[in-house]
Amino acid sequence: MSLIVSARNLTLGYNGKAVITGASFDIESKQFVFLTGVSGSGKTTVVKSIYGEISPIGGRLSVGGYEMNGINRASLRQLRRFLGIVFQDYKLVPEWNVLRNVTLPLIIAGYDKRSAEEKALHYLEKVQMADKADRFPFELSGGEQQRVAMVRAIIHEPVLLVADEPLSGLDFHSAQLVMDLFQWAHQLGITVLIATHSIPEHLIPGDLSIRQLHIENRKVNELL
Amino acid sequence: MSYYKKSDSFFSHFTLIFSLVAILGSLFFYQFFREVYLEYQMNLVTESTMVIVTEKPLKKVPMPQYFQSMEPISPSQQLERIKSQFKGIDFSKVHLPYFYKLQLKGIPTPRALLYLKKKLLENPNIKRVLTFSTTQEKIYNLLMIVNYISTAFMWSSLILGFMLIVKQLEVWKLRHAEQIYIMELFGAPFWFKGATIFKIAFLDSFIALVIVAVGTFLVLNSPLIETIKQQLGITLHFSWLGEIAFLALVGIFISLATTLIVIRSSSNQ
Repeated sequence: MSLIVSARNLTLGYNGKAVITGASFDIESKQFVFLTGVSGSGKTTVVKSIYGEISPIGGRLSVGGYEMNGINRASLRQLRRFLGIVFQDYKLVPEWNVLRNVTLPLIIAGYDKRSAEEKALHYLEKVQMADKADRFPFELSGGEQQRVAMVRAIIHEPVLLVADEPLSGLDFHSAQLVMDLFQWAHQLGITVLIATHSIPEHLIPGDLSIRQLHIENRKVNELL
Repeated sequence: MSYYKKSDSFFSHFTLIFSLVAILGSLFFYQFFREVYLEYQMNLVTESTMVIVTEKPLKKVPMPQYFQSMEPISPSQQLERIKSQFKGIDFSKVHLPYFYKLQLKGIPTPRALLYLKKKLLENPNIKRVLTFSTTQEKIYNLLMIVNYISTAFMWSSLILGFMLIVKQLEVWKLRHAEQIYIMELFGAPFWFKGATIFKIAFLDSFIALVIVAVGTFLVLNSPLIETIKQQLGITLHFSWLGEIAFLALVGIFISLATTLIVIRSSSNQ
């Protein structure tokens, strides 16, 4: 299996103040990884460094073969086209309807509008959202918005799917649907990294092989 | 199927359209008044002459810094007229002075005209100086005032228009910052991020251009403008279509510039 994420003695932080120090870990292709830790432990910081929102302040980080230390704009754009990102607050474009939001990664990837919409509707059917394709985000519940965000994150079949607290604030039914989508993405061969305060074991089937990286005292440790 | 939320669409367009109409309209009328002014000035220069009467013939233009040419006026017609009135007089013994028409280089002010007259009379050979009528001067001065006003109006419209556009850019930056950020998260290229804003800006520029084109066409073809042209005795070489094409380029430039500013200032990459 190939390495998707590789961190060596990584230090991350804001304004020179370290949040994560000396972290060394790897994520290999097609793994299903949970990154756990209490609130404020630095899970979001690690996720942000993976999609290039922040740069390492020490050590080395490589994602999909791209060195994240001082990555240039063009390389970052290229990298992000191979990532799927899910946020706690969904980050759907409020002025666009569900279909337009979901087709975004496909249009960026060069799909024509018609085939992008066909594929989007097919994926939306899988999450029982096809009948709401013309709705705007403000017309959807939190669970529905997260399902739309999930479809947007996997529709272009990324190499790595990164999610930051994707189940936060969702009811049991919505959380189950979202977790099913993560498993589906995993079955499609997508590497999954979910940052969450605790593993939702009640939502994970027993046969799913998972890894857990845990953040404590600014260090990232392997738990499972 | 509708892709976009339609709320606030009118107000989000109104500010830019209003600013662009002000900018393009003022540019158009500035160019128009300037053309009228220059055309009339050219007519007036051609007609701006002074007549001098000399005792001896002149070989070169006096005060060449003010006069571009000199044309002798033949006294034969006047002489024939006088001969017919005073028969029996031997005109061969009458010594007639020499008349010259001096073509001015520009349009002098009344004060400058007095100065020129005084300077010419300092020459002992020049006996008399005749200046042209001052009626056209008044029209010219009026046109000069109109030209100044149209220039001032153009600049104030440009400044006001640009201030409104800057204000609108602030609104767009706030409105589209999240959209641009999300696009960046999925690796959208620069042109893709700017496409929505450029479409809005381009559409607004087009609407503004149509409003200005229709408005100026109606004004230029109004009887009032025709009367003014006749009164001033000018033929305008002003191309309405050429001017609209120029304004279209200005509109496209403003659309592109506004898009670039919004994307650049909203971009986190």
